[in-house]
Amino acid sequence: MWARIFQIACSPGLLLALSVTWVTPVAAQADLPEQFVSIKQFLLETVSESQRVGAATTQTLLKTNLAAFQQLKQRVDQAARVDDIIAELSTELDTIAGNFEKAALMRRDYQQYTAEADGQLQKRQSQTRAAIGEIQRRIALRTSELEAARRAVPNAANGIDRDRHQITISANQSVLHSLRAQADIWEQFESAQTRLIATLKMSSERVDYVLFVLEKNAQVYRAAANTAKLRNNVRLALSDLQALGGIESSLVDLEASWREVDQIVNEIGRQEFIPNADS
Amino acid sequence: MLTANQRLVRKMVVVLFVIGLAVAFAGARHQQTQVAAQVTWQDVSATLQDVEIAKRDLFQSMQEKTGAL
Repeated sequence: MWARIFQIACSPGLLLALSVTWVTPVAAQADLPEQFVSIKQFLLETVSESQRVGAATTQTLLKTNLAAFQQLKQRVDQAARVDDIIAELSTELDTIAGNFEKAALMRRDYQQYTAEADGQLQKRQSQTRAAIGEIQRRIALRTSELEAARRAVPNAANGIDRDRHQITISANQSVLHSLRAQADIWEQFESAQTRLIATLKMSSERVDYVLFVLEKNAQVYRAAANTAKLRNNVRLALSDLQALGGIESSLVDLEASWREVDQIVNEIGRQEFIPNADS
Repeated sequence: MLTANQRLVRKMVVVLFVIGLAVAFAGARHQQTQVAAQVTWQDVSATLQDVEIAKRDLFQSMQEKTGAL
């Protein structure tokens, strides 16, 4: 029985079936429409991840600080003199500084993520350019076949030979039509991809800038908390804090750049590939 | 004294309670993860704008209490 099983296992049919099973996914990946879908999918996933990496943690910390500021305001409004709540103010400033410090720690993770993502995006862009090059190569090949067939028609040996050249001409015309359409799609995709990479880089730099500001905020709040604690002087602590500039304009820029990223993502999301004309 | 059946029922109740607790925790954790995964930097930016406003409101209240800073 074992001899029979061994015989079946070594049969060419089974070996071929196995090799087809192994080879097919690789061949499919090398196919241009598959590659288009794969690059597109990667771009959409990278943008989605870039918009989220570290955001949830930062959001939680900022919401805690928002509540702390609102609570402090209430306490200030209720107190007869601000100096009466100096201990509470100092503790809260300490907590706020701690939260800003934790949020600023996201900067290193975010920078690491964007550096890796940028490398991957550049790699995908090279793949897109290689795919365009491959289509141009196929167009050149088909065009030369078409031209050769056209030149051969007047010199055809007989009717069948002429028909063969005519079929070659019409087949190549049809394939060229599809290839040119594919080239258009890839070129539009490449243009959107280039814009997306540039806009995503800008958005990431703006997120980094916001995290940098939080880092500096943390230092100023820590110093102000210490001033309030050591000197028991609210006025001095507040003058330190007021020196901090607003970052509203940077936040507006950040939102605008992410909106731009979203627009390009929608544009890429709508791009579809047509069935392969030449494989 | 408890009979063997009563002891078995008691054990089963405890086991079911622990399983229920574990499922509830896992569900809550999953929900938290899903919510966290949906937060974007645009949301953070909006919260940071609220923080800036709250900070300004606090300074204003303090200015009113302490006089010009």
